Amino acid sequence: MSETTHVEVRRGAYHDSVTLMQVSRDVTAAHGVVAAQVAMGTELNLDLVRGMGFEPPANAGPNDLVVAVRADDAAAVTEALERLDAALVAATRGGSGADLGGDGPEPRTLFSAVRRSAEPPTLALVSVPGPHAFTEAHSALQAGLSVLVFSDNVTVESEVLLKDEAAARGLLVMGPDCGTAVVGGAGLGFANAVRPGPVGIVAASGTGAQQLMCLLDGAGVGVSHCLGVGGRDLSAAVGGRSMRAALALLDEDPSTELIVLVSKPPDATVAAQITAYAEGLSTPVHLALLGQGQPDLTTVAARAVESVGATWAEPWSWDGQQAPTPGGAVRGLFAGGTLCDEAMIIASSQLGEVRSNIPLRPQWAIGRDLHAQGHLMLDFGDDALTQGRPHPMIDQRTRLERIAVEAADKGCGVLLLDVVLGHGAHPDPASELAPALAQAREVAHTAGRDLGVVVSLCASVDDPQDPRKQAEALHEAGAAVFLSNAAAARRAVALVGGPR
Amino acid sequence: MSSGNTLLAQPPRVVAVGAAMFADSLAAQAVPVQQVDWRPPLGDAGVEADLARVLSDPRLAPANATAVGRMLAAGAELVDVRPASEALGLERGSFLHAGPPIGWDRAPGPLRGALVGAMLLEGLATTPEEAEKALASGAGLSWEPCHHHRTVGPMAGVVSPSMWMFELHDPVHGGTSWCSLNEGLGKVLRYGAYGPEVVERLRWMSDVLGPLLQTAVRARAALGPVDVKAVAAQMLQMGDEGHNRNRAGTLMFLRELLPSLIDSGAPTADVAEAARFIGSNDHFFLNLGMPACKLACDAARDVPGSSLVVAMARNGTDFGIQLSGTGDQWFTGPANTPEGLFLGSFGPADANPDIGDSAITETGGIGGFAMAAAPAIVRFVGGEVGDAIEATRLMYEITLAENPTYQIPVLGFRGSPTGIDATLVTRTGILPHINTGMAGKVAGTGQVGAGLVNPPAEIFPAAVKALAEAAPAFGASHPVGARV
Amino acid sequence: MWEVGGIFSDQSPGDGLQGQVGRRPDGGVTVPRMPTLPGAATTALRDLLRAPEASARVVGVHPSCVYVVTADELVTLEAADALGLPCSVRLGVDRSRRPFAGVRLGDRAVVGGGRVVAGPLTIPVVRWRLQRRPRRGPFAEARVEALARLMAAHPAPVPVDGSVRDLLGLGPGLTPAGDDVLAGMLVAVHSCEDLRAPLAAETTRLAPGRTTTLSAALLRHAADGAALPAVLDVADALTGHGSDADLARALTRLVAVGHSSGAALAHGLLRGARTVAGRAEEAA
Repeated sequence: MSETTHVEVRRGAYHDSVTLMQVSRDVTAAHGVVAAQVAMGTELNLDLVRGMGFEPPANAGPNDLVVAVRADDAAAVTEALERLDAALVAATRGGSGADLGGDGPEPRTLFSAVRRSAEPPTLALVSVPGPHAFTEAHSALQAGLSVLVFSDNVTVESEVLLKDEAAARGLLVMGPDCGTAVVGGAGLGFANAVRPGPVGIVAASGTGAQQLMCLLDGAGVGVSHCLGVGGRDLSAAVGGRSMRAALALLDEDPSTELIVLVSKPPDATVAAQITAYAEGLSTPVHLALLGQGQPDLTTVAARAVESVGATWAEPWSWDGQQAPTPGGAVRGLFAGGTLCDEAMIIASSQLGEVRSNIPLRPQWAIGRDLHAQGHLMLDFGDDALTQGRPHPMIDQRTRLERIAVEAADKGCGVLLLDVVLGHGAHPDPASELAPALAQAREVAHTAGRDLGVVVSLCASVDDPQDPRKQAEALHEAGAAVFLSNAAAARRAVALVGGPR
Repeated sequence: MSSGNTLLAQPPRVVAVGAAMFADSLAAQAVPVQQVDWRPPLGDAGVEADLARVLSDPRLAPANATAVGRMLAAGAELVDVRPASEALGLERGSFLHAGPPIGWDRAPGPLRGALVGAMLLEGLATTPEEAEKALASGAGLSWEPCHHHRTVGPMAGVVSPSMWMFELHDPVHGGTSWCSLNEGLGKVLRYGAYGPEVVERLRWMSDVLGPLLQTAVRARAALGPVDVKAVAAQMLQMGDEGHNRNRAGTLMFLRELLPSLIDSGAPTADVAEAARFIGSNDHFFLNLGMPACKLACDAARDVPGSSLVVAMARNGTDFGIQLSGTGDQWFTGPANTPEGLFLGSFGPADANPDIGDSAITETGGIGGFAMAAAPAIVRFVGGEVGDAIEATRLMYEITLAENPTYQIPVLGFRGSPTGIDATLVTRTGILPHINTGMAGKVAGTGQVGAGLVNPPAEIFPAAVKALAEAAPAFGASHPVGARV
Repeated sequence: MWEVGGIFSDQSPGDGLQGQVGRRPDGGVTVPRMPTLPGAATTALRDLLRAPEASARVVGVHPSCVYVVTADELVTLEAADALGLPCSVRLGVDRSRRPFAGVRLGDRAVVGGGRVVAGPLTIPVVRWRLQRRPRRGPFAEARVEALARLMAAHPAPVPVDGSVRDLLGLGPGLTPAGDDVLAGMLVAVHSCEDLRAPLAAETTRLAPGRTTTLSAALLRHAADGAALPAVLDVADALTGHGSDADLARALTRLVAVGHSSGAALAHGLLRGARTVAGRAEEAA
C-alpha cells in the first residue's frame, strides 16, 4: 500500500461553505481515504489544507475550488474523486426542496390544535393517563373549550379546581371518569346512535345513560343531548358542580323539552341542593336516583316517554321457550356497573342474598376469588377487575372464561349478561358470545341440566354493530334477549323460581 | 339567566387528547375532530404535580402575556462602544464568561484557553503557563457569567477590562446590554486560542478598532442610532438566521456605519483596515444580534409567576436556563455535544460540548428558531430544506408568540416562534433547536465544525419545579366541598 | 315496534381523504381514488334517505358544498365548516381538505338507501342531526323596530313588497334575491299557520319554471321552517330570544352571506314579521 496524495485546483467553480463541508465529509468517508478537504481557496482554508499536510498550488485563490485527497492508493484516490464529482452535482441539483404542503407536524398540544382550526373547536376529549389529565383538561378550559374527561384516577382537588375554573368561564367539565356523552347527536366515548329528540339526559353513570337513551330511542323518542358529570360529581366534596352546569345548559337548549337526571343516590345534602336547583328551571326535570325502592331505568324511560306525549310500549325482546331451572342460582356477568346494580336490586328483592364485587350490602361482598354458591352478580368493569386490561365492553375474554366455568357448575341455573353496543364498544360481541353461550348450554345439557341464558341488550337500532343481527345470533344460541335490563333481570329471577 | 355556555348551541367540533380510538370513533360519525399527538411530559414522577400547580396558578397566563409582550416590544439601538472597564466597571483581575457560573476545575478547554489569553492580554501573566497557574489558584482573580452583568459573549465569551464592548439600548423599556467585538474566524480567543497572534489581534481591536468604532457610532447615534433590531429583521429575509448565519446582517451593519467610519477623522489606513476586518468576518453581526436579543429577554425578566425562558447559556460544561418567574436562579444540566459537519479532518471526538451565550438568539426568537429563513443551515446535519422548515414549525409548539418583527418569508411571512415556555417544553418534550459552532475540546484548537444541538432535557422540569414551589399551593383558592 | 334494520348502509365509513388530486395538462383535475366519507344528515332528510335509492344529478359544486337534486328534492352536501344550509348532509372534514375535489357539475348522483353518491364520492349517512327551526313565540315589537333600523344600512337588492309572482326568480344567480325575500318571509311566518300555509302553497305552485330547481327546493325547506343558522338566529332574536346585542350580531352574520342573499333574506324576515304583527293588530 503506497499512500497517494492528490491536490488540484478547479477554477470558476463556486460552492458555498456548507455544501463543501458536506462534500468533504462524503469524500472522507469513501473507502481507503485517509484525509480529504474540499474548500474554496481562501487564506483560512489554505492554512487548513496545509495543516492537514497537503501543499496547495501557489496560484489558488479565494474563487477557486481546492481539492486535496490522501488515500491508501491511486485507485482509492480515483474513487474518491468520482465521489466528489457526484456529490458536487447532487448538491447543485438541489434536494427535495421546501415541502410547504400540509400543516407541518401534527399538533403536540391542545393549544396548537385549536390555533390551526378553520373554525374554533367546541369541545375537548381528554383520555390521557389520570395523573396527566388535569393538565390537559385545564388547557382545554384555558383555550375556551368545554371538556369531557374520560380519564380516571384524577384527584378530587383537581376535579374541584377544574369545575370551578369551568364555571368562571361558562364552560362544562364532563367527568373525570366520564365514559359516555352525546352532544348534537355525536357520541363521545361509549354511546349509542340515537335519534335527535326532546329528552335531555344528565348522568353520573355511563351505562345508566346508555340504557335510558336506548329505551327512549326504542320508543321513538329522541335525545337532544346526554351530558355526563363523572362518578364523583354528586359527592359532598364536589357538591354537584357539573350537575348544576349541565342542568342549566339543557334548560337553555331550545330543543330539550324534558330533562332526566340519572344517578345513584348521592350525598343527602347534595341531593337536596340539586332537587331545589332543578325545581327552579323552566324545563321539567325527572330525577332518576337509582337504588333500592326506586323506579328502575325502564320505569324512568316509560315516564319520560309519556311525559313528552309519546306512547310507551314494552321494549322489544327476542324470547323463546326457556325451561325454568327452579332452585338454580342466578349468575350475573356484567360489563356495566349500573346495569349490574339494577339487576341486583330486582333480583335481591325476590331472591334475597346476591353476592357481588359491588354488593348492595357490605355483608354480601364476594371473596377475592369471585366465587360463591348461590346467587351472584359481578361487575367486570369495576376498577379492580380492569387493571392492566381493556374494559369488558371492548374485550370479552374475562366474561367468556367465566361463562365456561359457570356452565360446569351444577348450581348455576341461569346466566344473566349485559351486551352493550354502540360507539366505542366491541364491533361484534355476538360473534364471540353466541358460540360461548351455545357451548355452555351444551355442556349443561350433556350433564343433564338445563341452563337458562338471559341477555340484556343495551342497543339502539342505528348502532354500528347491527343490533338486530346481534340479537338474532344470541337468540339462536339459546338466549332470551331483552332490550330492557329490568325485564331481563326479572326473567332471570322467574327462571329460577322467583315470582314473575 | 344565561350561563353563557354555547356548547349545545352549535354543532360539535372536537379536539381529542389521548387514545386514538376516541378520535377514530368521532371521525366515523362525521364529527370534525383533531387528534393531538400527546406524549408523557419530561421529568420524573413528580412533574405532573408541578405542572398542575403552575398551570392552575391564576398569575400564569397574565404573567406570560406581560413577559412575552415585553420581549416582543423591546427595541435595540447601538448607542456606544466602550472599554469594559468603563462600561461594566470591570476591574483588573476580573473577567466575564459565557454560560452559568463555573469554577476552574470544571471549566472546559476552550474556556480555560480564553481565560489564559485574557490574562496575557491584560498583562496579568507573561506566559500561558504562568496564567494557567494563577487561574487555577484563583488568587486575586475572579470570573462571573456575562449574563449577571447584562452582557452576552459568544463561545467562551470571555470579557476582560481592556476589551471594547458594543453598548445597545432598548428605547422601549430603558434597558442596556453589552457584547464584545467579534474577532473573526480561525484561531481566536473565543474558541480558546491564546497564541501571540490572538493577543496581538485583541490589542489591535482595543487600540484601533474599538476607539474608531466609538467615534463612528457616537457620530451616527447623534443622527439617529443604528437600529440593530431592524437590521436583524431584514437579515432574516436575506437568508440569515442570526446565529450561525450572519453574512447579510454584517454587510448591512457595515453599510449603516461606513459613512461615519470614513468621516471619523481617523487615519485612512485604520479605517480601511477596520472595514476590511469587519467585511471579511461573516459573523461580525453576531456580536450585535446577541445583545439585541439580550435586551428583549432582559425586558421580560422578573414577572412573578411567568414560565417564560429569558436565558439559555452554556459554559462548555453546563447548559443553563433562567425563567422570568424565578429571578436569577440557574437551572443547569450537562451540555450536549452538537451534531453536524466538521472542518478538515476533525471529527466528533474533537468537539467540545455546547458553549456560548449565543443561544440568546434562540431565546429571543431567531437563530435555530428561524431556521426556515436559512435553509442552508440544515445541511449541516445532512437534512433537506424541508427539514429546516419542519424544525421551525415544531418550535411554534413550545413558544408563546409569533414575532411581529422577525418574519420568515418561506412561511408566508409568519412571525418567528418567540418566547419559549418552560411548561410547554416539559409537556411536549420538544426541546429548543439551537444552531451553533463547535469548538475544539483542547484549548487553542479553534473551530472544528458547526451543527445543531438541544439543551439537556432535565433542566426544564427542574425549572418548572422551582416555579411550582413559588406558586400558590394547588387548590388553595378552591377548597373541596365549598358551595359554588 | 322496534324498527329492525337501521337505515345506515353496510358500508363502513372511509378513513379520510386520500388520493392526491393531480393536475392534467389541460388544467383539469384527476382523482385516482375517492373513498367514502361519512356524513351526518338532518332529520328533515330522514324519509328521503331511508327510501330506496333514487337517481339524481349534481347541479352545483363549490369548495364547501355540493347540490344534488332528485326529481323533486334537494340534498345539500356540506363540508364541516360550511354555512349550514337547511336539509344538508354534513361531512366531518373541513373545506380545506377539499372533500369535493372530484365531483363535477352534471355528475350522476344517487340519493337513498342510507347514503348519497355524487360522482365518485360516496357518503354513507352515519348520524342524524336535528334540523333547527324557528323558536316559538310572538314577535317583540321593539326587536322588529330595531331590525328595521339596522336594515336601513343594507338596502334590499330587489323591491321587497312584491307578490309571490313578482318575486319568484327575480335576480341573477342560483338563488335569486327575490326567492331569498320569500324564504325570509316563510321563516318569519312559520308559527302563524294562517299566513304560512297560503304563502307556502302559492310559492310551491308557482316556483317550477320561474326559478332554479335549487332555489325552489330551498323555498320548500323554508316553508317548513328550515333555513341557515344565520337566518334562524335573526328570527329567534325577533321573537324576543337572546339579547339586543345578539340581534345585531346575528344580523351582521346574515348580511355577510353571499353577495346579496343575506340582505334579501333579512328583508324577507322583516316583511314577514311585520305581516304577522299587522294581523295581530287586526285581531286585537
